[in-house]
Amino acid sequence: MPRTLALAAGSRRGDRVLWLVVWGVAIATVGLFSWVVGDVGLRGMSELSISFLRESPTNAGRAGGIAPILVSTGLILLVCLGAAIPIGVGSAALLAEFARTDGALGRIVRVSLDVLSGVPSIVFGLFGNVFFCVTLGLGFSILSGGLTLACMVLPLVIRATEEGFRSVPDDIRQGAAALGFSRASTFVKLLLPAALPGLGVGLALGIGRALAETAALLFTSGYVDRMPTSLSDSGRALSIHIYDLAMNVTGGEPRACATALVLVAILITANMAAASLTTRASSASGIR
Amino acid sequence: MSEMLRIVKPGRLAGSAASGLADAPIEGTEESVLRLDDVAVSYNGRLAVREATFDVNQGKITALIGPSGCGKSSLLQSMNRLTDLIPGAQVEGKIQFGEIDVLAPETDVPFLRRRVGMIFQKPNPFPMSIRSNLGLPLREHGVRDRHQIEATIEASLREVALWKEVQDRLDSPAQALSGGQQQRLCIARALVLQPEVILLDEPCSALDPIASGVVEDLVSSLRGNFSVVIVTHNLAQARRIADNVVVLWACGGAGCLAEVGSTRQIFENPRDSITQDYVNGYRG
Repeated sequence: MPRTLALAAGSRRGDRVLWLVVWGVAIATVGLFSWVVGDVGLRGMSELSISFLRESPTNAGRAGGIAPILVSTGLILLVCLGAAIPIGVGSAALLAEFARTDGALGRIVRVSLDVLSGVPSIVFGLFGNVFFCVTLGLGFSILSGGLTLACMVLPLVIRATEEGFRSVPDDIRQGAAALGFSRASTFVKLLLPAALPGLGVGLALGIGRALAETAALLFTSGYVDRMPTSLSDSGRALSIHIYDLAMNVTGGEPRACATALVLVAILITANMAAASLTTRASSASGIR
Repeated sequence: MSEMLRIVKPGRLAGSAASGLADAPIEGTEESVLRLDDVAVSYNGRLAVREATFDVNQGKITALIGPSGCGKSSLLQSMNRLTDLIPGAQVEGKIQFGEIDVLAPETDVPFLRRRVGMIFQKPNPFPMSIRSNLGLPLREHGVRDRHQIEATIEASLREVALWKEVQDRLDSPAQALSGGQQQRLCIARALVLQPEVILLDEPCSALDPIASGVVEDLVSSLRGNFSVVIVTHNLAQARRIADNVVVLWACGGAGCLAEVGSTRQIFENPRDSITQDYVNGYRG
């Protein structure tokens, strides 16, 4: 009897320690996030206004707003997604549906993706500069920046979409084949809708990484802060504006914080939009 | 319905199938719709079943029975070339379906599968509405007319006795149906294409006893209008619904044919000693 009691007391103490550790870690995580956002918010909030979002920067960004920077960021993102979505879905389909049997092709593509996702963004920047700006002659432009980012987020998009395809049960493929469906229509009508939630996850991760990127854009889309008139104009992204204000412009810090606040707000919105799209797509397709 | 799809049905008119002699021999006297001749299925060079030779008769129910792992499903899947989906699977021998040489590489496989439908062990409705489940195969095979699609959907659902249960919720997800209803929907989905042969791979084994009974009665009712091949573990079920029985057995690591005959002959007067022990419950 006493032994059992001692054991019970001991495990109760263990429970309490575990409880404290788990809660401590959770609170630390939330606390760190609130600290960062809170600090940026406190410093930047006073600068934030409607005119900040609608005006062009003046005096190297110390005054004025960030309108051209928002537009450039949006365009870079559009170019990035416009290139990454079709290539990503195509490669994911190849990996998951058409090169199933772990053949040489699938292995090579998968290894390349793993290597790509581990490459530092500054290397992507240099590659983008050499390939898109110089070799293809696109120069410092929104196009070069967006395409460089596309190379960077491609592994995320492909892997998440591939998971989406793999989550479709095999009996759906068998059922479609038994009804005489061609591979193409099985893919378009049954597999692609079911893989949409995965694509949503990939896009959320990709947009997050693209918006946060500085190094890869520095050499590709450049840092001209004028309103872009076409995709071949150089354009400054939000993250580069923050970097420039914080590092190169004395007295630019409040504006850097205000821009960071806008960036965080966009990121959170993009994540929430992707999450709600994902839930809606998965409930519509019935595959969870 | 058959006129709607304009699918030619060879042999349907030449109906010697109505003779209905339960103990007639399986070969020769009746019209066969599917002929298997020395069929062997192997996976990555390993034989799963060999030397399978038998006919599937027009308008009859043929049951494939035998213990697990003797190649019943492999044989069934070779009849509509579903073995193509399995990496490393190879089918040898000859399967003749009307004028179609099933195993020939140049065979139009989607066309073959439209005429030889298949139902699986686990109901596999597509993750979409009941209506789309039935409409999608029709559109896939080139039926565009809305009225025709609607009429065919209704006729198929009536044929599987599901119409009354789902007529006011055709647009709700098929996966919300019960297991038995899902299986009947899958049978209806095969029926919209007006196949001549329906292959069923243990269609009742994932269902509860009541749903299983309903599906079994449904399969039984397909007799006459369709030629049915059903794989079943349930000897009593084979005895209840089949006209002809093919007994497979494991011999030397691969499945092989033990005996082929009418249901009455197989269960009451088996020629093979293995069959005798199996149907009497002494083996298997």
